[in-house]
Amino acid sequence: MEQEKISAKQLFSLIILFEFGTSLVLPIGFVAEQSVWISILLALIGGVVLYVIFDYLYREHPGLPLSGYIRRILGSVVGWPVCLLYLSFFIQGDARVLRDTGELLISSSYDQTPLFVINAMLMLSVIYVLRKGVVVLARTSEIFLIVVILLGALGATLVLLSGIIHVQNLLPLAGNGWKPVLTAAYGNILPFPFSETICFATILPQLRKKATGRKAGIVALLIAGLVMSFTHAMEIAVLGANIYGRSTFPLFLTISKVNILDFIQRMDGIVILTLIVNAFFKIAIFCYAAASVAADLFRVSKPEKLMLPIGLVILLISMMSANNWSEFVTIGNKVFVGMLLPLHNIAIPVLLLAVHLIRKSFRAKISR
Amino acid sequence: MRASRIVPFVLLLGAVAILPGCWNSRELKDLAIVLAMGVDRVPESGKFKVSFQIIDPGTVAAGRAGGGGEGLGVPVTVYSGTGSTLFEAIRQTSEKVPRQLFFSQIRLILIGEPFAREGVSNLFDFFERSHEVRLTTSLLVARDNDAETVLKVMAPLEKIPADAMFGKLRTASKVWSESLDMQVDAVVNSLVGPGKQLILSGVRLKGDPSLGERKANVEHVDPPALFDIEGIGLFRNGKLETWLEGDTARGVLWVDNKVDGTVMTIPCQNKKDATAIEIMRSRTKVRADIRNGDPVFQVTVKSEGNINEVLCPIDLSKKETMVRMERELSRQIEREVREAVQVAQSHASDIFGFGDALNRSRPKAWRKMKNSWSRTFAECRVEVKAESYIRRSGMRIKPYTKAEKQR
Repeated sequence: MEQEKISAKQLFSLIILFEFGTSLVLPIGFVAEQSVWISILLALIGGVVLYVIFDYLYREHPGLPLSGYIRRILGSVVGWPVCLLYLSFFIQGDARVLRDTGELLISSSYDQTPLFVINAMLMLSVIYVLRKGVVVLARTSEIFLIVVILLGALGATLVLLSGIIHVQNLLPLAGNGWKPVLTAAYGNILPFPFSETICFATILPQLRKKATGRKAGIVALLIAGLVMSFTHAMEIAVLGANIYGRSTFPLFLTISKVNILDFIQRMDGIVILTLIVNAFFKIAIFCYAAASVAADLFRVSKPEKLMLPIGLVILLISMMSANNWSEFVTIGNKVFVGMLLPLHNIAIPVLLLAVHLIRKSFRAKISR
Repeated sequence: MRASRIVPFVLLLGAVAILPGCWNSRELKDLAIVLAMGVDRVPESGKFKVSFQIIDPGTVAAGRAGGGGEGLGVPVTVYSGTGSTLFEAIRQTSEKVPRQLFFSQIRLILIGEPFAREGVSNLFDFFERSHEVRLTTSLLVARDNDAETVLKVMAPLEKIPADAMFGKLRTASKVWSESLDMQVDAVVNSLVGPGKQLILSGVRLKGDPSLGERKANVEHVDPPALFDIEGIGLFRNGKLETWLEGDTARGVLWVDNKVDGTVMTIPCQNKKDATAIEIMRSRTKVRADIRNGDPVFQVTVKSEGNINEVLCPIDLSKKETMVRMERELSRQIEREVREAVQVAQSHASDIFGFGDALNRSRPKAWRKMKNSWSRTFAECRVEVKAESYIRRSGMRIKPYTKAEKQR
């Protein structure tokens, strides 16, 4: 692990796949109705700013993961419990991604398969890869990015060719004023998925060259944001804002509308594959973040050793966290997107930045 | 050395058994593939009655059915069941079907007219929620009949009646443009808001339905029972109100920008309907605007066509003749559109989606009007303008018929 490190290109593909995660296929921020795609672009700005903060904090504390510099900035008495908070957050967050993925797969195609079986399959493969180290995950992501790009290009081309896009569905732009668009952007889409890049605060120390992280990350975020905005605009243009807002899995519906010459149809497999690949990387990165914080806190030499126990905990939590989909979604919107994500990914990092800058300026004064 | 190779190999073989992921594998021979589904309501109990046209794979399999040999049954079977919800009705039908019903291949949903008149607003939840039924399934209303009766009629040329009905719908909307292919998502989108009302094409059964059920029906040169795609049903708040026929139905399609190709007849000199023009392309734009606080809609139809038949002696080589015919064609299109608008306004049913158009261009005004939209629609001003271009006149220029009296 020490000798092998992640390249900028690998970080780039990890971030793109992570951002796609489940947010590419789920309906996000639908208070904005047909203007969701604008909200995504607006939220992207905030997402990039957050990433720059994460990157700056890492540059100021080279070699230290998130939990390392939290304790350095806040001191270990305050820092240690805060890190524990992050550990539980990463575990919770991963359990949510896992559950989301499992539920989507069941409601769209694996209708008779028990949720536990699907979640266990996903989690076991994640654990397997992560035990080989995060570098292996990064290398895998390079290959799968190409797969996802090809699948996405194929899917988008088919939708375009079958003439089911009705651009008028995207009008009026911000029909209910700009307030819902902004609410969706900063109340909903910035926390999920953009702010979740905090996971990369645990991966950045594995970079081969410290300086390359910022550019690769920003470019990756921009590309992911643009693709996401395009995809959601396409979904609305095909389905209409009403069906889009009510469905659990709009991308799946969009692709199922594809019919070219009664010959090319039923291309749902494209979406299912995209979902599984993207979700795999998101689950893996969250899981790695949790293990990295845990290893650092409890002085375990390598996070790889913790993958199995943490992975199993995540699997169990994903099963226990809600009795049904509605409960899961309610908790997701109210507690997770409403409180936990903004707290861990926006409030605490900004606080860390502030404390760090104040201490730095004091240090500068003293040394002068 | 050898064991270390065998163990992974055996493990890999084991993985093959799991990887296809068939938790609940259903073999083709255990499935009853539903091609068309009919929905009616039982008058006494108010329950749903569903009927399924199910394919019998044995009779349609290639090679065997070609000869239409003796002893083979009909290619489809119709089963039906009742229930308070569609899903219950479907499961109740399952008792009668020896295989599991499978919906992924369903092409048509047929609604009986009596049911359509009672209202279909909450019919579609099942179709949306189910992951087997696709959004690309088309909908039709069985005119003057319940859906079950129409589903039972055998059709010539296609082995499977559902395919025949679907083919007719598709051809009719492509070359005749008096009917339209409405799919589940479009139907749902016209039921959710006040800005658009539902329209559905109709299918009419002609002849004796009891003869149509038999395979013998298709053994006649002129089958005793046939179904035609005919008319467009106008709905108001999910209830079927009236039928638009012929030119009026085409008027709806002009406004909806759905005319792919059709035949227009226009007068020639003093003879009525003496020139046939095939419309090759057309494009309609609807502009919504607010004038003095009232909504105004401008419908502009641009169409392009060729002359296919002339029943009077007229000199098509002259530019002025063509200009005159183009003007005549525009007038005809404008008349059809106005008729359709008039019928829709008299039923206060915005089947053209004018409300949605208003929302797109003037969202603030729309928010004020949407609660009383059907009343506003019934009285709103609609300006119709057609621009037509006749491009060419086939393999001859002047017709061979001589003028009866020189102009």
